[in-house]
Order: sequence, then structure tokens, then C-alpha cells
Amino acid sequence: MINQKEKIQDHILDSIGEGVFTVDKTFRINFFNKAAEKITGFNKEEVLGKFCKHVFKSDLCFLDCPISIVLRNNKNIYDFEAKIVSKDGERKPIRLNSAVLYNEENEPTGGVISFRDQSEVEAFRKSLEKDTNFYGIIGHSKAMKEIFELIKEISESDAPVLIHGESGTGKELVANAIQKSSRRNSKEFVKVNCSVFPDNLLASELFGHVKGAFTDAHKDRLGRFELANEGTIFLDEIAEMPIQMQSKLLRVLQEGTFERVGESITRNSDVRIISATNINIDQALKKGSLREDLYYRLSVIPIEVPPLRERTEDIIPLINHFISKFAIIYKKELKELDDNALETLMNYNWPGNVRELENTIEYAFVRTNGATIHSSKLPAIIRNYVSNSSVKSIDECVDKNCERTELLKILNRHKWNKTKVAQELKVGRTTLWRKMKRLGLAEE
Amino acid sequence: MSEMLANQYFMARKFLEAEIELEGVIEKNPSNKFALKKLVVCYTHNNKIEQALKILLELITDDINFIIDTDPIDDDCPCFELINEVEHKNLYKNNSPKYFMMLGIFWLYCNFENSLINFQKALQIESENKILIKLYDKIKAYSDNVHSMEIRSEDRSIN
Repeated sequence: MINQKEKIQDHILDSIGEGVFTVDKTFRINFFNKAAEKITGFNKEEVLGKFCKHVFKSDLCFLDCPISIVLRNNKNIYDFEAKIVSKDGERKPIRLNSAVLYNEENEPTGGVISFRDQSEVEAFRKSLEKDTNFYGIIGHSKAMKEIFELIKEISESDAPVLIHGESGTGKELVANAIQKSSRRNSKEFVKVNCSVFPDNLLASELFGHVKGAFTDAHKDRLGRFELANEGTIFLDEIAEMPIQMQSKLLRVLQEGTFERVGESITRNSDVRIISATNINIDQALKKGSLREDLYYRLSVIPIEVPPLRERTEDIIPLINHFISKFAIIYKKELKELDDNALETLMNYNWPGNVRELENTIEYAFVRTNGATIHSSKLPAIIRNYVSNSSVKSIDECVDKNCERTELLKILNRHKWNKTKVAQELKVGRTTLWRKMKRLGLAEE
Repeated sequence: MSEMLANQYFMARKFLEAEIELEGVIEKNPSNKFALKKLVVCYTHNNKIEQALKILLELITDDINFIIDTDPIDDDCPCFELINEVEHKNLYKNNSPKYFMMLGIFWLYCNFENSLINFQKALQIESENKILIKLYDKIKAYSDNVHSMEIRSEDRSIN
């Protein structure tokens, strides 16, 4: 009877797509399903009875075995990233879940690990990274290149950074790049969106609380500043933080100290602060919704992320990046935009910035069955905007910025073929070159 | 304390953590031979030689083969790695009794004759160490027995 039951269980486990293996309490493998065979390249017979570390040869076996984490913390783990070595010697990225098996006396008698092969996802991530310029940020424009340069320059510093930019410009990506290139990159990186917590909960979220501090405080809880100790904290939408909280944050910046809610013990935390906002800072300072002293403390290194309309040279690389991304996500062939669609996108002013462009490409991508995305597949709001706004001639521009933006649009439309651009502008190639040089476009 | 966690620490060669877990396991079940066998290695590695010798003596008095028959691969025994560490990393003063005792303990899991040589050297320096004497005698008796059996079997094959 038991045998029959076990056979059914094995059959079920063999039929699932995730690799599953179990170990006894000495970490010898005693079950290995079909998907595990496929992912690792080992046959069941080759691994049964062997120590799992001898089969998987993962660094984790020696550093932080997932089953030992569960044993220590009494909590199963999910989606844990690891690398194993397959039978043919290839290092494979996996994501795993881990749990411990107990006997009737509640003593651990074994462990179970289920895992998924992440090789394809990893390859996809790498291929996208190849196309990007800097830690996942696409930026061919001068303004973005300057930001990349600045991030490299400050990599040795722990000074607070304030990132300012319109919604959707990629402030969080900039924060990620700062953290990844900093000397704290191996430590915790904690992110808090200051606008999503009610006033009374934000203090507890940032600084923690002790049991009984308020109605729902059933036990002590660490705050984000303690969790981020020795690492970095990213405070998004910092200007949305209530004014009382701003004074507490100022103290952390000045002294590195704080108290948990409901406790009088002063605690220390060594945290590098990166913050971001999309509001008009001058107005917020005038209005008093952002403390001036806090602002100056936070913005030791200010970074302004330009809106997409001011860096139209990034539009085509971003479009290509998003098309590649959605081709993999939706398992469809790569597509390209026809000239009309491209022109429409180049002439739109992108109030929602890169995020809006990404959404637009996804929308058009899923609506297109063939290999070419036509302008008719773009969102109506964008088509209407572009058709209603008269195309501005470069001659109509009154300042250098406008002239540069309009010339960029034409250059992009003609894929930087200067003969075609000169023809459209009805000027000679030398005049065009002088104009490009004057507008800082000659080398781009 | 969990034997399984102790096993993992031992497997990952985290001997300090393994020692703490194993002590807890032994406290609950003092006759757990598998845990004791590992604890000897941990104590030796963690420089608690006297404690290691004491447990080792108990174990070999009960069943010397339980230690001697250890397989480096099948039992994931770290003793070869540890012998290499003791002999080549200059962590311990060469020719000190502790140095020979460490090697004597580790070698017993892999090769009883090498173990005997090292315990003998330790005894030459620490001739009054009672546990060491008893341990040496047990291994010597085992070694003599093995050799006499070998001689008998050779005689039989000649005849």
C-alpha cells in the first residue's frame, strides 16, 4: 500500500516542470525527479545516495546551503538565486525553493528543493544588458552620458545623492546604478517609497517599532534604516514625506541616529542615502512642504535626469531595446517600426517619458501580428497628438534647445543620413555640419 | 539543536558551528555515535585536543572499525584535507605533542598505521598522558592483530 502511494507521488513529481530532489538528514540525495535530470544532466541512478554538494557543486553548499537556512530560521525559502554545475560542467543559474521535512517528533529528517533553470532568462538579461549603456540604463545622449560619468566619479563616495526628474525618466534605474557602482554594492539595498505609507506608519517603516508601540505592533520590528545598515537606502518621492518625518530624517543624516517608535534607546545606522523626487523643488521649498536644511543635506550630489523629449537621440535605442524585450516576453518574432510609426514616436512629446514609451511599444507590439509595427497600431492618444501638432520648422525655433531638438528629430528620422537631412532642410552638407557642430550634435 | 544542521555545517567544513550543534545533539542523545565521530573531528580542528582524545578513546573502545573504516568520499570525511592543512599550513608548531596528536586523530580516520606513528611521537614527548597511552595501546593492539592475521593468511597461502 505504502509502495503504491510512493509510486504515485513519484509519478506526480516526475510529471512537473520544476526540478525536485530530496535529501536525508545527512544530505544524501534520496529522490531526483525527471525535470531535475533534464536540468542537471545527471541520471537519477548517478546521484541517488550521493551527497548533494558533490552533485550540484554550488558555492552555496559551502556558504549558505538553502536547507540550512530553513533549518536555522524555521521558514521555507522561495525564489532563491543560485548557481549549480551541470554534468557537462556548465554553470547554470537557477531559482529554488527549499523546505525541511520533519518526522512525528518534529525532528528534521530531510530536505526538499525544487528548482527552475534560469539559463534562458539570464541569457535574455545579458543580451539586454549588452544593448544598454550603463547598469541597464539606455542612454546615448550627451545628458545621459554625463550622468553615467558622474555616477562613476562618485563611486568611492558615501555622500547623499538626490535624483530629480519627471515621472518615468528612470530615477530608480539611476539609483540602482549608483548603488551597484558604489563600494557598498555587496551590502543591503533597501528601497522605500515615502508616498505610499500613511504618516503614522512611515516612522515605523523607516525606524522600526517595539512591541506595544501602537495597536498593531504585536512584536518588535526592525525599520528600514536598521535593515540597510552598512548598505544603502533609496527614499523615493522624498518630497512627499510628512514634515515631522523630515526632521527625523534630518537627524539621521546629521548624526546617524534614530529611535524605534515606542522606544527611547538611541540607535545608530551607517547608511548611504539616495533619494529621488519628481516635484518642482523650488516650489516645494517656497511652500514649506520640503525643509530647506533637509534638501541641502540630501542633495550633496544632485542628479537631474532629463525628460525624454530633451534627449530624443535615446528614443530609437530605447525602442529597439523594448522591442527585443517584448519579443522574448511574448515569445514573438522581432518586429520593426515602419517609417510613419517611427516619425510619430519621434514627434511625440512623451510627458510620461521612458515608462510611457515602454508602454506604447508593448501596446503596439501585442497588437501587431506581422513583422512590422505600423503607426495605426500606436495608441490613439499619441497619433492624435502628433497629427494635431503642426510640425515645427527649425527656422521657427527661438532658442538653441528647440533648434537642437528639432534637428535631432530630423536626424533620427533619416537614421543620421546627413545627405537626406540636408536635402530636407534645403541646405548644403557643410552648412548642416556647421549647424550640428554649433548644437553639439556633430560627434553624436 | 538539530543533527541535520550539524551535518550541514560539517559538510560545509564550518567546524566551529558544527561543534556547537553537535554538542547539543550529544546532550540530547549521548550515545549518538555518528555525532560523536564528527565531534572528534570538530574538537581536533578547533584545537580542543583533550576533549577529542577522550571521545575518540570511548568510540574505539566500543568499536575501532567504526572510525577506521571511514571512507573519505562515501562518508565525506574531511580528514585528508585537515591533515594537509596541519602538515603544510604551519598552523601548529611542528614536533609539538599537539601537532602529533592532531595528525594521529585525523590519520585514524584514513590510515591507522600513520595514526599509530603520530601517536607514538606524541607519546615520546608526553609519556604521562593517560588517555594518550590508552589510545595508543588500543590502536597498537588493533595493528598487531591485523599484522598477525596477515602473516597467518600468508602462511596458509604458502602451505
